[in-house]
Amino acid sequence: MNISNNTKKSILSSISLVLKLAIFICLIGAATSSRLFSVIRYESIIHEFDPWFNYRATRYLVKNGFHKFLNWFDDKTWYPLGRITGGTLYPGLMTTSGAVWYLMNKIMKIQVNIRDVCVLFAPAFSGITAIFTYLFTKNCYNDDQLAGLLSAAFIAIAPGYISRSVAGSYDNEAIAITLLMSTFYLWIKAMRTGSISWACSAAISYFYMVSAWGGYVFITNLIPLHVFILLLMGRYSTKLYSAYSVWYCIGTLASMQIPFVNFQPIRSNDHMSSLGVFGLIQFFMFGDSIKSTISTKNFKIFLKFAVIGLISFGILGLFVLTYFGLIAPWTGRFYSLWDTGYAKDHIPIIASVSEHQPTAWPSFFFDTQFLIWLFPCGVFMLFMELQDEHIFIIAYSVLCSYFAGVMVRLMLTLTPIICVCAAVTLSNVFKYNLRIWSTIKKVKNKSDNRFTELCVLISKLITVLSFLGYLILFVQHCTWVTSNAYSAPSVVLLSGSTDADGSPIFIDDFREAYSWLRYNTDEDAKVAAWWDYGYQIGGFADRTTLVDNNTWNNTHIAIVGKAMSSSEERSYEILKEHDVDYVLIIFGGLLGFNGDDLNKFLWMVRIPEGIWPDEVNEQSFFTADGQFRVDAAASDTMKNCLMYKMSYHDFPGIMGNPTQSTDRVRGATIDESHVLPLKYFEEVFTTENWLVRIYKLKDLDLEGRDLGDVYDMDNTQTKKKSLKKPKLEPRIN
Amino acid sequence: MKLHTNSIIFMLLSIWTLVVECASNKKLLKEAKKGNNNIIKLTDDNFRTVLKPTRDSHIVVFLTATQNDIGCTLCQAMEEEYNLLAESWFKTHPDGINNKDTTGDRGLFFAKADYSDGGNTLVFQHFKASQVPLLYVFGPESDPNANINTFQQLNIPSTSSSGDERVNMLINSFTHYFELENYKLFKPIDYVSRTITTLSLIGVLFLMKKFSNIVFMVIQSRILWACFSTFFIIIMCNGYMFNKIRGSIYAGRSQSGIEYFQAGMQNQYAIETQIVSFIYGTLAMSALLMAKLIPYSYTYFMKKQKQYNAALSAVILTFLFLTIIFFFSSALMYVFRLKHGGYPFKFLK
Repeated sequence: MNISNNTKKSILSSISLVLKLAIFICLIGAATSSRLFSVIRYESIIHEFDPWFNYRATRYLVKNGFHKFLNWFDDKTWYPLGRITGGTLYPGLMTTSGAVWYLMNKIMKIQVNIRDVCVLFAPAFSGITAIFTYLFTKNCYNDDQLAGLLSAAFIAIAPGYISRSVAGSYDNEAIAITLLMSTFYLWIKAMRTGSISWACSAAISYFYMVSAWGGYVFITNLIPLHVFILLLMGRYSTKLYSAYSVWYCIGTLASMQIPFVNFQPIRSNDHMSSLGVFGLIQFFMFGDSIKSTISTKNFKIFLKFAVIGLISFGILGLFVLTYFGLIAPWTGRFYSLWDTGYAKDHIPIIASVSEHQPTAWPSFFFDTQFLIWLFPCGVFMLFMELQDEHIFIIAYSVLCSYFAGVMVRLMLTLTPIICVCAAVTLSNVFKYNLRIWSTIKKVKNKSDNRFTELCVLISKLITVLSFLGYLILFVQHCTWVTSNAYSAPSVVLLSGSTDADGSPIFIDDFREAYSWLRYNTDEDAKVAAWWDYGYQIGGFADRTTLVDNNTWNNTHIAIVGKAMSSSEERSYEILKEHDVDYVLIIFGGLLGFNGDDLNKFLWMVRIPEGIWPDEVNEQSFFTADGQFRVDAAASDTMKNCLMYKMSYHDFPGIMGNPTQSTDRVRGATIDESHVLPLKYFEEVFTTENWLVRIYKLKDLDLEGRDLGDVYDMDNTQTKKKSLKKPKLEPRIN
Repeated sequence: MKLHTNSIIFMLLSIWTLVVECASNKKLLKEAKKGNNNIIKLTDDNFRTVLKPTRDSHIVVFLTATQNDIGCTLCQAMEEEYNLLAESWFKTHPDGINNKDTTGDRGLFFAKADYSDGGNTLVFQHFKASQVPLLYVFGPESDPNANINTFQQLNIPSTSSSGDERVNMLINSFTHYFELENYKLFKPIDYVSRTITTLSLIGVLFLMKKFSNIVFMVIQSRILWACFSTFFIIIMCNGYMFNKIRGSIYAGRSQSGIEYFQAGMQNQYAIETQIVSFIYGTLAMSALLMAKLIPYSYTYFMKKQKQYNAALSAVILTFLFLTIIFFFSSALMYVFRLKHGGYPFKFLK
């Protein structure tokens, strides 16, 4: 009997192992395949803006090797300043994909294009994230396999995570969430066991995370917070001590090896909490050992003095260090998290980024569907048990839900913990209700409890079935959201209508314009465009840009903004000073494309206004009653600024009516008489749907005249002869 | 000789105008000192003389009605702000004049007519004011024959901002349009409120010290912490911060009555946070009870050998919570469809 029981057990465990393996394979399959919509619908292409920089950097790495990559000075961006790219990026993403490429091409001899590695990087890593989430949940929640598997399944398909990890979205976050979960898992493991090896692995994982994403600061603050709460609750233990001390020392030393991070971990205030907790835990350890040697009464006196001394010393030290400039001031991005009005008043560049906007409630539901209401329930359940590792999840949830409410982009870091807590809730629901077999057995036994057990069985079955229904709905929701909202590369657009044979029509204006630049301009031509398009111009067209999405120099961005918002004559002066040859603008008026430059235009006014308030004034771009208009009612400053002229140059008259056209984004009628002629710039290229327009700065007049005068003179002469429109350059197909 | 007389006449003229101009500023300042916060109070008797040319300064005229029964909330909100506006200006420019060295006698004065004060019906008639609040500006005028009908209306930034923010916006536009210098928001320090804060803080600390065991009990109460954290998470996940940062209005109005939900994923009314928080809260509570209460009641009744009760409670509780969850999640989806028209999933309605 005993032996058969044992064999039964071993068979069962091996079956469960096989099942678990099958589940994991399915999970990875689901995670990867649900992220491939964009590849199937469009093509294997890098998406959006930031990924284009990462892709360009990866290509550089693969071509030139790691050493050159770290010392890379990029003179094709931020002209004429350049950017010390090697020292100002997080190299984790590029090195990882570079290593994958190397492994495949050089060692396994499978020919893979680096672009395909980059495109498929995020889906592949999301599978790994699922596994780490399983491990994390299982370790955090009483070794509950069900909760672990559920959380892994949730994270694999939750839209909140998919939003940043579809195929082609080759961004730091793609790898960072994986590393976030692995670091947390290893930390929990280290904290529970007190083992130095686990703490070391946590530190190494942390180092990897630091190398990959600026959001590592979140870990730098969350783990100390966890330790701090444990200390406050009187849950100090030697395990905690060894885990935290090892993690902090090795992790901090390792993170300082990243050139971009450098000495920040010991100087910037973002990192101070981890240092403070490190000091505190030393004190706890010291107190703990003192306590065992002296009497309780003496210990109390010692404690009182020590606490007062420590606090005053700490505060004094902080002031002195800040005063002498040894500690860097708080960074603006960090400020805007705590004081929500700060960014709006002080840093327009941060306020202008849509990722930094607060989150409205539909986004939460959109990104997590029914997990969002299971989430608080799970937190409550964790409170009912409240073991050391549960406190970690609770601290994470509370802290991160605040951050996600303040900034849309931090939804990404909230999503994993939503999945974990929701899994905890569901596992609790299922734990009782899934014990169907034992109930059935009891019903079969024909005991006197039969009726009761039957009732219980029915209610259990219904519960399980209904929750299964919610789960199925969740899967459908995720698929729908992924397919509709998160799978567009935003470089290529779908027009919504179809061809005669039913295939969708693409709007490929961006690539049309960039390839025109690539093939029709000098290799060292400088292109001025608003910073959103800097990375794409660099990646697609390989031309030098003035500003790009790495918004490190506010003044430089303001210069471009000033050029766009000044009068043509002044703009020409500014742009000539910066050696610019071409100006590229995005105009959505013909197509009805919302995110065009005129809609971003107020930022091109606000940012320079912060630096040159006497030259640029936001009010003057509004009508007398404070509206932003582009039609006849537009203010004179507006009509005279470069952006307006370039956007509507030759626009009236292309829609049938010879003197008027309708701007489909702003719903405004543009009349020929509003659009003043361009005197210092000439149109060289406009894409099929007018989405991108490229202008060239006219050369300086050979006889030294002002270009405005030249235009006026030529125009009067040509008027005498005949009205002749300037010819457009032939297009490249 | 002729030239000489000409220049004398010219000089006399210029002195005369100077005197008149200075007089206009002095007159305005005198009027301003009479009113509260350096704001000229316009009445039927004085408004013609105050607004009469010539003058070398801008005069901002604010028409308002702060009476409760008129129900102009904006007027009441702007009452303090207008005072602040004037106070800030006179703080740095005690005589109302911008900068003697660069812009000469040009200055800025504030005038106000509050319908609730009475005795100013003619003022409102003069401006043909059919609604309040209104903000007008009279520019500098050197022609003594100009009438007092030449003024411009100013836009009141009413929708997006309030309080200091609106005052700042007005200050910025005044500074820009009237070409003023050194005009900054001045906030008087409120000593009363500071004292009250300090005293109450001391009081609270004292009470905490006295009832320290209760305080410790509260701090260490797990259930309180749990409820607080859960509540915090629920409101944070419902755009509470969005309302705070953007200052969303409480609810909207449409033709058919009050509108509770604003269409579109990127915007929301403040009431949405409350409604959706309620839905989330109910759902979370049901899930919690589902997982914890049902097994508990089962074992409780079984221990007491009341099988019938155990069966009943299991069935009733299960059905109760499942229906609640079903109805509320369909409500949630319904509400979400209001925000996102294309959402394809629904249970009911």
